[in-house]
This record gives sequence, C-alpha cells and structure tokens, in this order.
Amino acid sequence: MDAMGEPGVIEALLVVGGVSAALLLWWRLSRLVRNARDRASLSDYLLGVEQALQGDCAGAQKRLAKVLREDPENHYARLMLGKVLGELGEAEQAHQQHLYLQKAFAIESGENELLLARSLLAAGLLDEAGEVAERLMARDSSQPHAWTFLYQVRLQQGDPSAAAAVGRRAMASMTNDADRQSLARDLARTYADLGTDAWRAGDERAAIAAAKEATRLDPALQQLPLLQARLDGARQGVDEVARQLASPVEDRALVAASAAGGLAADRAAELPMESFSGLVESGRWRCSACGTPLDQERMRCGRCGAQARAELREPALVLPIESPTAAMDGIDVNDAHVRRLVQGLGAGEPVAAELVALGPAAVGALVQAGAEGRTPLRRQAANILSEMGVDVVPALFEASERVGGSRLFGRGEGADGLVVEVLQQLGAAALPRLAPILGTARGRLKQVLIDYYLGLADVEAFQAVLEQFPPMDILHRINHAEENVLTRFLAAVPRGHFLSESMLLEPTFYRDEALLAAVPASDDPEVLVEVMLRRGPTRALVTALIAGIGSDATAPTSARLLQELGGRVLEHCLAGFADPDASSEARERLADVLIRGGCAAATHVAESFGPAPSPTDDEMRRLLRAIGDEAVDAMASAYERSGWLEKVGAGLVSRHNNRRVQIARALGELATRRACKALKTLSKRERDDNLRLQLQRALHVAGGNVE
Amino acid sequence: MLAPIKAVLPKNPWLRVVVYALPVVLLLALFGPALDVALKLVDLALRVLEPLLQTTLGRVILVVAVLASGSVILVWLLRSRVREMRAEAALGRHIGATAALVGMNRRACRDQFRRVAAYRGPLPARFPHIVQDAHLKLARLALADGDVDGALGSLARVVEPGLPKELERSLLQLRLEALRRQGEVLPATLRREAEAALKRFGADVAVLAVLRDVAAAEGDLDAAVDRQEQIAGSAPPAARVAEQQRFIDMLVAAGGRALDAGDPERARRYAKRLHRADPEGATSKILLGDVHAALGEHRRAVQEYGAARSPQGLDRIAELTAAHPGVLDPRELVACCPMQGVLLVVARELARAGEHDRAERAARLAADALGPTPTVCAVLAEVLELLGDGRRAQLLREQTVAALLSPAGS
Repeated sequence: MDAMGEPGVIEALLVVGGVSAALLLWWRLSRLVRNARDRASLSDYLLGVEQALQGDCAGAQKRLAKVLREDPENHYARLMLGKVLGELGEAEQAHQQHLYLQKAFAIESGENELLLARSLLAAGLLDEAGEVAERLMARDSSQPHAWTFLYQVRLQQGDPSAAAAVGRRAMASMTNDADRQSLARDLARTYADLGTDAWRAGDERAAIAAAKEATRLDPALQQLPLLQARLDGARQGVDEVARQLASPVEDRALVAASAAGGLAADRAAELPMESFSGLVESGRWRCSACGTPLDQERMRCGRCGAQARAELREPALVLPIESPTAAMDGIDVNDAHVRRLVQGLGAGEPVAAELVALGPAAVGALVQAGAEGRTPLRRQAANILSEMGVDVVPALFEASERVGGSRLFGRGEGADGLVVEVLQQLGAAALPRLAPILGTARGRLKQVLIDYYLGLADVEAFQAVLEQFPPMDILHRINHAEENVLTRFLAAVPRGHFLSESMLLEPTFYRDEALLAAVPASDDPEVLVEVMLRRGPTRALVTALIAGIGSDATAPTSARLLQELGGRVLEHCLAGFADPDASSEARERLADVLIRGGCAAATHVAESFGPAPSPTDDEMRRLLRAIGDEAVDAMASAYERSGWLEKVGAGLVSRHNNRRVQIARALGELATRRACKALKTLSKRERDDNLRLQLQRALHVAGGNVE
Repeated sequence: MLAPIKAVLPKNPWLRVVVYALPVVLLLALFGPALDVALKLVDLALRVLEPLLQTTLGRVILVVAVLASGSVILVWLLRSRVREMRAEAALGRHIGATAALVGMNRRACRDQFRRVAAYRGPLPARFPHIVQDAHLKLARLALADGDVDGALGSLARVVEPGLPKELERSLLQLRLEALRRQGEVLPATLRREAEAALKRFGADVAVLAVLRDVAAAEGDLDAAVDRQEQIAGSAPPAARVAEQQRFIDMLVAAGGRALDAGDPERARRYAKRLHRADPEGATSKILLGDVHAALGEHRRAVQEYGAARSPQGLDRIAELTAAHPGVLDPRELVACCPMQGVLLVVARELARAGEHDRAERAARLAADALGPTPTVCAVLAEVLELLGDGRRAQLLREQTVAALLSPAGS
C-alpha cells in the first residue's frame, strides 16, 4: 500500500495496464485474423457447410471436396464431408474421411469418432462400429446421442445384455425428460429380452432380476406377462401354468376386445391372432435384428434402426401349397386323394396318420394296395387298417370281396391275407362287427371268418359259425388251421358241446395231433381224451400219440391213450420203440406201454426180430423179459411159427434164423419156470441141430439163473 | 496532382509525418513572431499541465489522455489496416462458430454466432455474408431447440438482397419451417411461399415436406402423395428408406380413402403407383385386391390377396369370405390363393357352413402344415368351437401356451 502511495507508481501501472490491454486485444484479434487467413476457399467452405445443413448433400459434397483439395488441413470441412458422404450412402468414402482425421491428422474428436462408428455401421460392420463407439464412450461419456447410437448398435448385434448396460448409461446422460421416458420404455423391452435369454439358459435368478428391472422401467410392457408366465412355469410346472393361462373359450372375445382397444368388433372377420390373455404381443412381423414386434412390414426398425425388411412371426402362413388340388382332395377325401396317400405310403411318406384319420374312406384303396403290393406295403396297410379300429371291419370285408372279384387270376395272397392280418391285430374287439356279416360272406372270406373265430378260441362265439356255415367247410378250415390256433381252440371245447360230440369225431377231421396238444391246456382234458378214444386208433392219432410221447407235456396223455387203445396200437408202439431216431425218453415210455400190453405186445415183439442180429435185438429181448411170463406163450408160438420164406421153401430153407435164436435167448434170460418149460418143450421138438443147441444153451443159462 | 509526390514519399507512415512536419518547422523558423506565438502556446500548455503533474489524479488524467490520444492517432493513421483486421477478425469468429457447429458444440457456436450477428463493422471481402450466415445459423439452432419465435427473429434480421443462392435457399427453408411450426400463418401463405421456393430451387426436400404437410392438412391427398413421391425421389440415400416407407404408407392410406369414397378407379391408380414404389411389397397387391373386392370381382380379389404372400392378404381373404359366404368354393379359394394359411380360412368357412367333416380335415391339414402358432391356435379353436368341440379347443390353447412356456417350444 505504501508503494502505491509513491509518485508515479499508479501512473506506471496504468500505462502498463493500458499497454497490456492493447497487446491482449492485438493478440486476440490477430488470432482471429490468423484463423481466417489460414483458411483457403473460405467461401466454399462456409457455403458447403450451409448446403450440408440445408440437405443439399450433393452440392455440399462438391464444395467441401473442392475445399479439401485446396486446404487439406481444414479438418472441419473434412468432418462435414464425411457426414455428407454418409448421408449420400457412401459409407466407405465417409469412413475414409473420418479415418484420415483420426489417424493421419491425429484429431481426437468425439464427433469424428461417432461419425466413424456410424460409417462402419452403415457399411454393415456392426462389431467394429460398436468397438469404436465403445472407445469413444470410454473417453467421453457425456454425449447422449453417442450412447443412444451405441445402444442401437448393441440391439442390432442381438446382445440384450450389452444393450441394457449401454441403455442405462444413455438414460443417465439424457437431460430431456421425454427422451428419457422413451428410452426407459425401450430399455424395459431390452431387459425383458435379457430375462428371456436367461430363462432359456436356465438361469432363473437372472431372469427374475431382469423381469423386475423391466417392470420398474415400464410396468405396461407387453412382453412382461409372457416372461412372468415362463418364470411361473419354471417354478410351478409348465402344464399347470398353461392350464391356468389358457382362459376358457368364452373369455377370449373379451380378452381380444380389450387387447385390440375396441377394434375387435370391426376386425372379427379377419384371421384372429391369439394373444392368450395378453401373453403374446400383437404384430405379425418383427425386426429381423432386434426382434421387436412390428405392426406392418417396415423397411427400417424404429427401435434399433436396422434397415432390413421385417420378418414374419408366422412365416408358415404364407408358404405356398405345393398342390392346391391335392390339398383340397385331402379336405374332400375323394378317391384321388386317397389314392395319392396310399401311393405315398408305398413311397415311404409319413401319411399313415392321415390315412388312419380318413377311416372307412381309405379302406378300399388300402385293401387294393395291400392285395397288389409287396409284403412291406401289405403290412403297413394292415397296421393302418387295424389302427382305424373295428368300425372299418364291414368296409374291410366289402373291399376285400370287391378286390377279390376283380382279380384276373389267383396268384399271390390277394386281399384275404390282408384281412386276416387286420383281424388278427384287431382281436376279439372285431367280433361284434363280424357277426352281422357272417351270413353274407362269400368265397375265401368265409374261410377267413372261420379262421378268425377259430383264432378267438371262444367256443360260444363259434356257435355262430356252426350255425352259418356247413360242417364240411368248418372241418376244412379246422384241418388247415395253424397248430397253435387250433390247439388253443380245442383246449376251450367243453364237455357235451357239438364239437366234442360230433364234429371232432368226424373221420374227416385230421388234426389229432392238435387234440393231443390241446389236452394239457384244456380246462377239462377228459373231454379231449374221450374224443380221441372215441375216434379210435386212426393213423393220425397214433402217429400223434407216438410223437407226443416224446414230449413231457403230452407224454402222460399219449401213454394213457396208447395203453387204452390196446392191441390196436401196440404194433405202432413197437415201431416207434424201434425207431432209431426216437429219443431215449420216448423209447422208455413206449417200452412201458408195450410192457403193459402183456401177451399181445409180446406177440408183436417176438414177431419183430429181424433175419440178422441187430442192436435192437437186445432191446426187444429186454421188453420180453420185462413182460415176464405173459410173454412166454407168445414167444413159444412165435418160435414155432414159420416165416413166409420157410413156408415157401418147404424145408429147403434153414429154420435156424435170428428170430428163433433171439426168442431162445429171451426165454433163457427170462429164466422162469414157464420159460424153462417152454425151452424144454421147444428143444424136444426142434429138429435143427443148431437151434436145439441154442435152446439148450438158453436152458442152461436159465437153469443157472433159476438156481 | 499530389500523386507523383506521394509516390516519392517513403512508405513508412512515421517517416511521412516527419517529411510533412519539416517544411512547417522551417517556415516557423523563418517567421520569429509566429514562433513566439507558438512558444507562448507551449508555455500556456505547460502552465496548464504543470498543476496536473503535481497530483496523482492529474497525472492519471494525463496518462489516460496521452494513451487515448495516441490510440486515436494510431487508429486514424492505421484506419484501413484496422478495418481490414476487424473484418478478418469477424470472419475468424464466424469460422470458429461454424467449426463449433460442425463439431456439435452447440453452446459455443450459438454464443459466437450471436457475436457475429451483432457485428456491424466492415465486412470481409472473402465472405461478406457472415452476418446473414450467422443469423441463419442462429435460426437453425433455435429451430433445433424448438424456439420458433427466436428462429423467426433471427430470420427476420437477414438482409436478403445480395445473398448467395445457398444462403437464400436456407433462408427460405428455415422461414417455411418456422412459419409451419408456429402455426399462425395461413396455409395459403405458406403454400405460396413454398411454391415460390420450389420454383426457385427445384426439388428441395424441406420445402417439399412443407408443401406435403400443407396439402395433407387441406385434405388434398393427391397433392400430398405427389409431394411425398418427390421427397422420396430427392431425399439423400440415408433418409430415402424412411421417406419411401412414408410414401408407401401414404399411398396405402390414400387408396383406402379412395375406396371408402367409392372411387375404385382412383384406388387402382394408387395401387399401380404402389407397385412401382415397392414392387416386392405386399401392399400394392392388397390394395388392388381391395379394388377388385369393391368392384365385386371376388375371384380376382382373392388372387391378388394370395399373390401378396402376406398375412394381411389372408386377413382380407378371411374378411371377404366372411362378408360373402359361399362366394367362392373352397377348392376355388385354395386354387386362387395357394398358401398354407388359406387352409385356416377354408377350415373356418367350412365349419361355419356346417360341413363338419370337411372342416375338421381342413383344420387338421392346416395344423399339420403350420404348427401351433398363435393364429393357427386362434382359428382352430374357433373352428373346433363351431364343430362343438370346445374341449379340444381348450386343449389346443393349453398346448400352445405350454409350447410358449417351455424353452424347447419357444
């Protein structure tokens, strides 16, 4: 303060101040002047900028390009030129200008980088555009329009997670309330998308958090009910929630009316689009980039800015029908359609379900195809026909008769095999449908019907067959029936039935083996046993009995029957016993039968020794031994009886043969008093020395044994 | 006359002063009395100044006076340079403001443009329109901020005569836009101005947009559509998609109104224009179908709707068949519009006609071909209800909702 009081100080300061002000003014002015003088083509530059602002992009491009040719350092002209080129759709050239600024001139301008990102986006380089914008945001986060741009880039990339993060920053940087509200609504959709992605990935917690955030941002968002329902479904079970949400049919009109804001009445004639009580958003299109529903086919998405045609949410609606005629044939179910389907079946097309649904209308074509086609097609046809159920049975027989009648010649299985296959698959369920057509069946269908009833193994139901068809026809089918089918049927025959009392006793019934096989499974085996006994020892029965004796199941019955049939079957039993192919068990069982046959059996055995020794001789002798004394007389008489060669030879042929030797040995091995006595008697009468010697040796053996 | 002398004089202004002063001093020296008078005057001046030099205030006044007089003399002496420098400085400020505008620094550019707009000094020779340009830029900024009155104020200050055509164009654009937004100018005035601007500058998108809006406001749809067509053709490529979409929307709306007004021929013309504007789009075919439907040519209408390959076409077919039941046999319908979606329409119409079996088969065909989508579900549920099978309709809804709720189905 003292210094200020000294004379001259204030004046000096005033002078200095005045001079400084003058210098400052000079400096400022000279800077402005230099700013102007440094620029060439100034008029073009300023007018070019104005043209760009007024939308005359072509004029602006021409002027600014000229400016840059004369003044390449005019960065703002270059920046503006880049912007103009971008608007002219020349993204690559715009990118070049912005790149020059960034790299060649090392200009760090947020606007330039944003335009650079925009040019990359316009060139279709989404990732690069996002990267540049992200870098810009990291350096300068105060530009709302840059955040909005990055948000749109993330949406176009289909990355709701990144978009949500960017959208939050964009919202925070906005100062305009209306813009912020608009972005909040959009951001809510992004969070809902995020939640849906998390739900799909099974991350329920993240999905719930995203749903909450979306609700906070926009409680009225259309997408929220669906997300909420999906989360509920994940917790409570999809079916349960679906049942709750699928509102009753009566409510739909109400819901549709509220969803369409009163337009429902006017648009009732349109094809409705189900909203499922608001679960599904309206709009038949959606943005192909961000998935936003669109009310019409827009060229540009208002949300993410993607310039691609919207895609349909239900593209199948507009897919072409390959053959309209075929489609309508399918609706009308005319012959052409059915034929086409059956042809498709043969070609391996998945038409089985449709054929099944057609029901009786498709039966004729299926039967025709099954009758004419190869085995796989017939099998497929049979499967489809059986899937159609018993209602098609009358149509099946009708078609079968028609197809059978139209055949040129009888090669191949025809339609009958198909009918049989179908009936087999349908089983007893077809019975009520068959009863009415029994009387009208003709030709081979009769056989089919009889076979079916046989297969049912229901004797009561078979009564209808007995009443409708001649017994001879029935017997014919019985004789031709498969063994297991017939066995099952015979096992069901009760006592006193017409079958057991009459039909099975017919000599033209040849299936005795089935009778025998049915015995173990029969409720009343005695019925069948009686039938067999009453039928007597027919060749078929005896063969079956001898064959059945080898089986554990039928052996007791066979043995019993053979025994009860007595001497009439002993010779057959002996033949079976001597059969070298017979099993040891069968032989043992037949041996038992023969042993029980006593004298009669012994007669046959004694007569059966061959002219030369064989291994069976020992077995025969064993049988004779087992029969015991009852066999002695039979053996003695067999010994004395001459064979036909001896009779013809009238003493010229030697009596010494294997039969007599074996009988002598058998008697010797029997070694009973009666046997010894018989040996003695035979020895006395024997004139042949060799035989006598054999008899004496046997007697010797028997004597030793007796002792 | 003095020109040869001036040419000989040194270029430096100080030396010129000395040269000018030398004859005067010589003259004074030759005339003593006159010199005395001069000395007396100097003495008088010193006597006046001496008291001032004794006090601080006096000295300050003297310093200020000296500096001021010095500055004035200096400015006077350098007046042409100063004029030039001021103009260049204003131009420099304008360039700086423009750079701020290009660089999106709105606040800085607005301040600088205001200063340039307030400039009343000499104008730079290289761009003498800085003040008008600044006014235009301020008006543009004001419009961008929604300050229509401020924009009109700036525009009103623009001196039109002598403006280059680029600035004139901007002036007209901005004035039209400001007047349109202000809303108090009569449409006729606006249209006249716009038409004048159009005559002057040809296809200017901004002017055309004003004319379009005016025409639309006056109910002249034809004119509005024509203007929008011009806009779509003249817009820069980046904005062309949006303008094209708008053009299509306007044509569709205009076609609809023509039909409502009972003028199918006009609607047909719109349909043809639509086809030219968007050959791949469905709208032209649908509008043409509407025209045929209005003329009672149902078969051709269905053909056009079908050719659209769009759900809107299906909607129209459904509307047509609902309004005129039996007008087309289902077989004919499918032949005219061979799309999978038409099976839904067929199913519904058959169900309505009481042909239950055929309806059910059509519904099954549609369901097989289309899958459980919302539209299929809605139509089939309706068909099943008409067939009296509400239980299956409900089941179908449940299945579709379940498909939506399961990750695999969605």
